[in-house]
Amino acid sequence: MNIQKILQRMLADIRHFRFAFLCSLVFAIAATLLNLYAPLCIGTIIDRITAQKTPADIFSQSFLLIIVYLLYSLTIWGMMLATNHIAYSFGYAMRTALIKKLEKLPVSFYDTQDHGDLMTRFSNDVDLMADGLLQGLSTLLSGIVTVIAAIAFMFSINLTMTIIVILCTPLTFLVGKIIAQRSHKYFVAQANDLGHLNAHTQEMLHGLRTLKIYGQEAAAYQKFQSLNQTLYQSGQKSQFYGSLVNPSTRLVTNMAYTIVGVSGAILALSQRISIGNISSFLLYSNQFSKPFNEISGVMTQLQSAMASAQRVFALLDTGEESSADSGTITSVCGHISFSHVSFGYDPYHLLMQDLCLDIPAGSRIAIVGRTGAGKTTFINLLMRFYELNSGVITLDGTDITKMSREDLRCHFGMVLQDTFLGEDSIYQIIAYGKKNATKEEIIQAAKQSGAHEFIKKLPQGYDTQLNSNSFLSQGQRQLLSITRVMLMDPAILILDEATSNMDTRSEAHVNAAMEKLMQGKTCFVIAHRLSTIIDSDRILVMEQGSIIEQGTHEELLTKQGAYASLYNSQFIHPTK
Amino acid sequence: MKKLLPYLKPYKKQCLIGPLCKWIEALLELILPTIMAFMIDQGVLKQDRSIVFTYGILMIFMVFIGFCFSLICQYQASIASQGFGTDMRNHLFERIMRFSFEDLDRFSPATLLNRIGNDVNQVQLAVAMLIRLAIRAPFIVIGSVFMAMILDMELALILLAAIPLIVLTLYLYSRITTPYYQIYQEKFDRFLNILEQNLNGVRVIRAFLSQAVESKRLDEASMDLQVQMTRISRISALLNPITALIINATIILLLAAGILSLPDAIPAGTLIAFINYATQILLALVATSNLIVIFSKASASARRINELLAVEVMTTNAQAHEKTDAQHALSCSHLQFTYPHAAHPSLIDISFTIHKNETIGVIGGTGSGKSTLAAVMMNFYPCAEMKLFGRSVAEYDATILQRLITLIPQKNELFSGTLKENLLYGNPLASEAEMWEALRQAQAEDFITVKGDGLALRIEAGGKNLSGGQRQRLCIARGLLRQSDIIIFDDSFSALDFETDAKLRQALGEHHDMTKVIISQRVATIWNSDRILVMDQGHIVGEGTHQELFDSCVVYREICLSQNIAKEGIA
Repeated sequence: MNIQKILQRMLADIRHFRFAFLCSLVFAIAATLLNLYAPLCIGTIIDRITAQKTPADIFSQSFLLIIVYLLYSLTIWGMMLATNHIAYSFGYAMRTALIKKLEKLPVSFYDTQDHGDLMTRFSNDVDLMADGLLQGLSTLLSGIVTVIAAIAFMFSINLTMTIIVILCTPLTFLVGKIIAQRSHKYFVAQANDLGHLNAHTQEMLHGLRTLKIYGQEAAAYQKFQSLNQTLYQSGQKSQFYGSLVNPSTRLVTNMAYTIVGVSGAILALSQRISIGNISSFLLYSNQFSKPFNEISGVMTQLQSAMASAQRVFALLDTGEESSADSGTITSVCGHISFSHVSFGYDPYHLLMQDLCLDIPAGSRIAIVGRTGAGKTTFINLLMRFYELNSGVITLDGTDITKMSREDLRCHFGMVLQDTFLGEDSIYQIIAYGKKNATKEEIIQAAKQSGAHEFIKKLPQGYDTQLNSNSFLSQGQRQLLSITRVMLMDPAILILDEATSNMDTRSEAHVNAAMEKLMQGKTCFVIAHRLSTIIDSDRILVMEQGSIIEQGTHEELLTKQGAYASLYNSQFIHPTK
Repeated sequence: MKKLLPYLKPYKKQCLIGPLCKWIEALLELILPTIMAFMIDQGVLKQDRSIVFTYGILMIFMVFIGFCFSLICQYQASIASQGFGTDMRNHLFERIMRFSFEDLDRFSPATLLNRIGNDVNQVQLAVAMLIRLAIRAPFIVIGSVFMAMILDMELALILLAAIPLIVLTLYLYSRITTPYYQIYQEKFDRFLNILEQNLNGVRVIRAFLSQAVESKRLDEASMDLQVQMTRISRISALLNPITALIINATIILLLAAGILSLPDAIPAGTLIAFINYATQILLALVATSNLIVIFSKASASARRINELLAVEVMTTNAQAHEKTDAQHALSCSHLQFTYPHAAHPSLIDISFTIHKNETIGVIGGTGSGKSTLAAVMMNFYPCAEMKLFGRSVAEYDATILQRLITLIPQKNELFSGTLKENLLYGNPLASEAEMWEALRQAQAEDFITVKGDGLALRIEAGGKNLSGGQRQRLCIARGLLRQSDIIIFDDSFSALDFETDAKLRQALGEHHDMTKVIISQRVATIWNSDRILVMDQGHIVGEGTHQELFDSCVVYREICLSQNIAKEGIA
């Protein structure tokens, strides 16, 4: 995306604030004109004082000045309000668009993108865009008006002087540009060096305990020092060159001031202009060059706003999950079949090839295998978190790609290793999958799962608010997530390592709850602990994305294959 | 802020020269209009062309000299502030490297990173601004008032009255908005928190069809932010109009004084000069208000940096090199241990003796004290009662201690670099042959060979390009390379499947001259150790072999049964 396109898009988004935009434009013009008119007023008053006019004459003029000043303050207030409104509403609108986008992004996007980076786009980047817009808008608006009005006022006084002023001031622009070009490479170097230093620091801080175990702190410090020194070099240079902009533009402004003064004096010597005119021109030359200074200052801000806009727009343009019509199936019994399914996270590297499988409704399926064998992939496909490369998965005979994701997923209940509860009251958390559940239903479900016991003991019972640094144990959190699924009462269940983070005693509670939950449902169980697996109707042994063995526990043991060796390995003694 | 001043000491020279140059530049700038007035009065009015040229050249010269001085100032500022920041970062990092485990529990990596990074940058910026601007603004204000006083003492009183009003406005402004900004920051943290939960919990959200609910939650947080920002912007939109009003009122008062002085009028030139000075003062004070924002941010950052500097870094004078008892690898009697700042002890009445070359299993639920026991054995937390080869662990010299005992922690931390570099952490002197041997024992040889790069395999930060089980095996290999007398596996097999777990333990069995402490939640991992310690709520509730414990220890039997393991060890 090039700068022009980004700018066009930002402006297109601003269109929604047309009224505020118009207001700020009108206010900006009014404020600038008032600001330029005031010196004329003052000049007249001073002239009349010098001319010893009667007080009544002067008072009328003074009254006008008071009105001008009051109006000036009012108009800049109005302008600030309007531009602030545009900038912050714009930021909010951007954030809302990003939030909407989150709903539609495929799960693969969440899996592959760095979460820290995504969060930066929601926060820092949106802020930079809004700030850049705010500064850019108000500076540009008042700048343009000032330049035009100042030129008009100057022309009305003297042509030669006007041309001298106009020739002098854009020099500022040029100087700023030259410096920006020179310093750019140091800024890039600084950003890179800072990135390296931060990466090293982050890594060392996260691994500090390990560093200490192996006594490697000194080495880490040494590397930090050398990276830090590199950062110093580029940081010092970029700061110095960056800080040149201000004095340099001041140099040009002051030069222009002097040149205008001297050339004015020479013209005055030949009686071509009056002394009063010189002072007016000195005043206007400052007014005229000020916007150029300010615009060159805002340029850097606009640049980072552009960079941020690019990142935000890139996220907004990411491909979305396809959607299908909803409302095809209302209730299902849970018969699932895979036919000739192939899939790979990278299309050139298929993980799963030509997988065929038929799972009758109500059966309990255990999936075992080493880490990375494809157990989680299996679930990803079943829930349509990822799309197949080829083949079909059907639910009660219907191709799942023909259903909307919502229709498909509402038949599934999931209990995962990481419990995601969110911040809410216990009531709300349990009702997460069934928003219209009554309190009675919720308590009923909690009693079934056994969560009722500990919820009762909480200070506010079911109204207790949970937050991220919650006081619940892992086992209690898992009981809540099971209760949630119990309330939903889906036809199909997925239990993915649901007890692997738990100590044995809490596990016993959770297992009892899961046992109840699984009754009469099609269940997929992934577990490290073989004890959870033995009772399944069928065990799928996976390796490198394919199912290498399937059958009941007994059948597989007699087969003496992969499952048997996996099972027996639990009991091999190292010294035997 | 004050506490950080000593760090500016090496840059004393820059801190003096910089502001001095800035002062000269401001002085020249202040004189410029006066010379211009002179040129007009003397040159134009008296029709003296040579005076116009002389003063013209003088002014251009002054502008140029002023520019040179400001360059020197900017240069000194960049040297001092960047140098200050760099020193500060080095100092903080070096200090954090010496933090004890207790300190590390208190400060998360995220907050440490934020302080070394963001907070130091804020203070660094404040130093630069201090040198560049802090002297200029007050000088222009004072200078303008001073010049005005020379021109007309009575009129200057009007200017003097306006200054406190503007200062008050700026002060009130920052007083009112600071708490609003704080609230904004809190709301912002909340928004990010919800966002992060959303990113991490995407599968559950989608499975429960709760995208709409979560979007609404995010939207509300975002709306909250917007409302707060609008509040702030309403206040800040007032700042400019009000300051303008004050200064314009001053101008009107000056003019009124001029009118009232009729018929004995104040000279027009004086009035013009006064109006000019009033505007200059306004501009300088507004620049100061920007400085105030920078300084208040920097002082918050300085506070956070000081918090780190206030942490007492442990320096031990433990120097023991010799074991006093070669047979008793680890022993303690009636040991009690409480984490610093904790209300209740985490280890209570712990007594045991581990002999040289024994394999000891430690089992218990989460929170039973297993990992705490390991931390005490490693001297992560000082506890004098823990004896290592007859001597308190705290008495050993740090490098000797590392040779005697090693821990392979629960969390697998690998660093970016090659596999070889990672293994060298374990033992900087290890040969490649030794590395391969350690990899073989840790059951990592196969997958390393498959990857094809051997020891040159690239490992990304945190080992992100490896699976959990692979990381764990590499960490075990790294620990084995250390070849210490005692090695503690703190739940180090948890990410391994049972087959790999078993093979690994078999390979470990080859190390006969090594004392092994294996901590686990799985009975299968430890049931055939020489002895097993069973832990529950900080106590040792059982000690013996699997068979003995199965009969005598209720807790142990319960754990076994829940994992389908019988007395004979076979389900």
